[in-house]
Amino acid sequence: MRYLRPVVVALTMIISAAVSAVAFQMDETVKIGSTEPLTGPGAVYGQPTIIGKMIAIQEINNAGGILIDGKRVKIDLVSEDDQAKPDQGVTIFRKLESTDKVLVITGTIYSRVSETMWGLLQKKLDDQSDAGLQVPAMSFLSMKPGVSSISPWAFRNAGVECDQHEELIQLVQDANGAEFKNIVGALESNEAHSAGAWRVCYQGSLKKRNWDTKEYVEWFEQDTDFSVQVRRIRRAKPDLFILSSHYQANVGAMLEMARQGVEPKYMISHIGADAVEMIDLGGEAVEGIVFPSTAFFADPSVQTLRDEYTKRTGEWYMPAFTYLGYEGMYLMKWVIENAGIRNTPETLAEDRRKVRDTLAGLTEWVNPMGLELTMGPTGDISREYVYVTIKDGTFKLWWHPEKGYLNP
Amino acid sequence: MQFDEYFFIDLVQTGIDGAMLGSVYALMAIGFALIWGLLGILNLAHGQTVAFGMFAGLITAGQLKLPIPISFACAVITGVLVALIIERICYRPIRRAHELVPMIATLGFWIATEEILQKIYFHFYFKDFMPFPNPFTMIRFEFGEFVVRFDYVVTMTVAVLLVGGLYFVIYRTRLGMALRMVAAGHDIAHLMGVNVLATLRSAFMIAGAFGAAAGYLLGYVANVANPYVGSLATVKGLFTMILGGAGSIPGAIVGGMVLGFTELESAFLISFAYRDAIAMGLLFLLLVFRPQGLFGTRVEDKI
Repeated sequence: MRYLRPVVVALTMIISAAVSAVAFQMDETVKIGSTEPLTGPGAVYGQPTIIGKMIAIQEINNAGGILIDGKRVKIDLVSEDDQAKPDQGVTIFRKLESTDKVLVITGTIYSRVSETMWGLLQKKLDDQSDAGLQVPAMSFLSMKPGVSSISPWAFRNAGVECDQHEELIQLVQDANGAEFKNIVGALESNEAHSAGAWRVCYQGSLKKRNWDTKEYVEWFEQDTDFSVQVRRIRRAKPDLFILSSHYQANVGAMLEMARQGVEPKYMISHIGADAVEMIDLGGEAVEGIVFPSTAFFADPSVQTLRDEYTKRTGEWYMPAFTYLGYEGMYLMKWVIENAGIRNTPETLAEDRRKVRDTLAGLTEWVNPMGLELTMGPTGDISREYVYVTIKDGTFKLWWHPEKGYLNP
Repeated sequence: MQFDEYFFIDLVQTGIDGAMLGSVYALMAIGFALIWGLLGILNLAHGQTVAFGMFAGLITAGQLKLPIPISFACAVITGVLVALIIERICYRPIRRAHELVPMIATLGFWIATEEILQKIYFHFYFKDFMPFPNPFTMIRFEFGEFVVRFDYVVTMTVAVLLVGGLYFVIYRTRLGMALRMVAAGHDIAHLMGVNVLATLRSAFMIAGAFGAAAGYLLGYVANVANPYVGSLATVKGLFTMILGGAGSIPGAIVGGMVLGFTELESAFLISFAYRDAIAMGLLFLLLVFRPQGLFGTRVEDKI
């Protein structure tokens, strides 16, 4: 009996290895890792993203799959829930890389989780002394400035955050026709993306124009009382109000602003305002806010995707995160098909490197909306944006690169 | 902070808002204080009565469109039922074990039910924040430069009525007499003919009712419901109880007001980013100089 145990362990290892080995080309499958906050406070962003990914994968697989080494294989998405927790993200990232042996890891949403996960990656390409993980990773959001610079293996497809805010500030300046005199900023101080957007992007744009903020307030992501901050905002009589904050806090603050009769001429926010909860929870109080988006849900080019999203969720509004997840999987398809990989257990490390190099060299890739995307040197894709406002109880296009101002 | 013509107006206004907000913290803390006063254990699962109370309010007022008083009553009943389950699972079977054992059991109940509630919540809703009905959210009273939110007044009024009711029960009913005897000592109460287990079950039910009421009112003033409020309630409730004096009902009430006041005044005077750090620093200082909290007294005076 004493010899039985090692034999059982050895057999288990052999069987496990065999089972994992077949999840490659010979099994007509390519594994892609996925991590998002599917439960918890970040689920409002994670769920729409994973749905976008799943719709794209269903379409790709139904059309035959991805062409690898002369053979069409299906995408096998290994999805995990990081709950927007950095420690959980690290565990998931390691699991996807080593246990699941995925070719590429997509996700996650929150910058604080992505930058923690990507801290595991190799810092300098081909550095033999760096034992960091070597797996291409791409977030379809994580907007905090500089996050993808952590590693040459890290990429983002949501665009360059500061470009969005600079463009939006210029647009509101043009729409206003004059310089703003009373600028007020609000920062969600316990959220990395909001803090980063304020310090690096918004402040940079204001400094560039020699504009000072007359008032500046902070709050936390899940606060419920904003009376103190809004009193200070009211005293400042803002003509431009910048909310570097997500929808939960935005709604609470804007409801309090409505109570206290604060009506800035322009209110702008970042992509964290792209949630149907803004309207559901905020009602009339959130009317007039403008925020950037990568894809407006009512655009005809995303109608099929929007219809499928509505069918799956029952929701009338499709946030841009769904489109980013959807687009991201098509981007992965193109990259994998053009990387020249073999998709076998033996070539996994080599394949991962090829995928990384192809992603890094991405130039003028045409996305499902017909827009061109190019990978920048910092791992961020540069792209065009639209700007969305809330008006008459719904989301409306405020500015479009080709159509100009639509609902100023 | 700016020393301008509005400074004192804002200082007072912030104090008023803080005290109003603190009334909800007080309701959260009363449940903790009641169980600590009677059993000497930290009921870490108490925050879940707050979460389930909010959830019940969301379903009954938000989905079923029941009138607010009926919806509030449904929430309170839900909190009572959750508290009964806590008593049955986390206290009664292990009451003779070391006092840490039921406390750890309540910790397990907290974590497990929070996960379950999240699963149920996301089964019903695709969003993690749902609008909690509050028809009075935009109504406010103006007294010169001062403004009082009507929903805060409603919250404060409900809190005062509930606390008044609790005092009536404790000092004017047979159950209250039994509760006071149990607080003085289980053996003594038993020798005096008090059914200790039944009395403790009643205490859990009262605590659950207060927790659920706090959950309902928290959703009401914030205009949102979410499945994560249990953790917040546990942290704030425990903090408030320790601040006021462990096991002291008056301490829980004053502790809640002090916490709400401190949070908002520190945000106004110093910085909102340091609000929690200032509140925790205050607690630390208080415990150094007065370990029993603001109202903490000897064991027999706990409730």
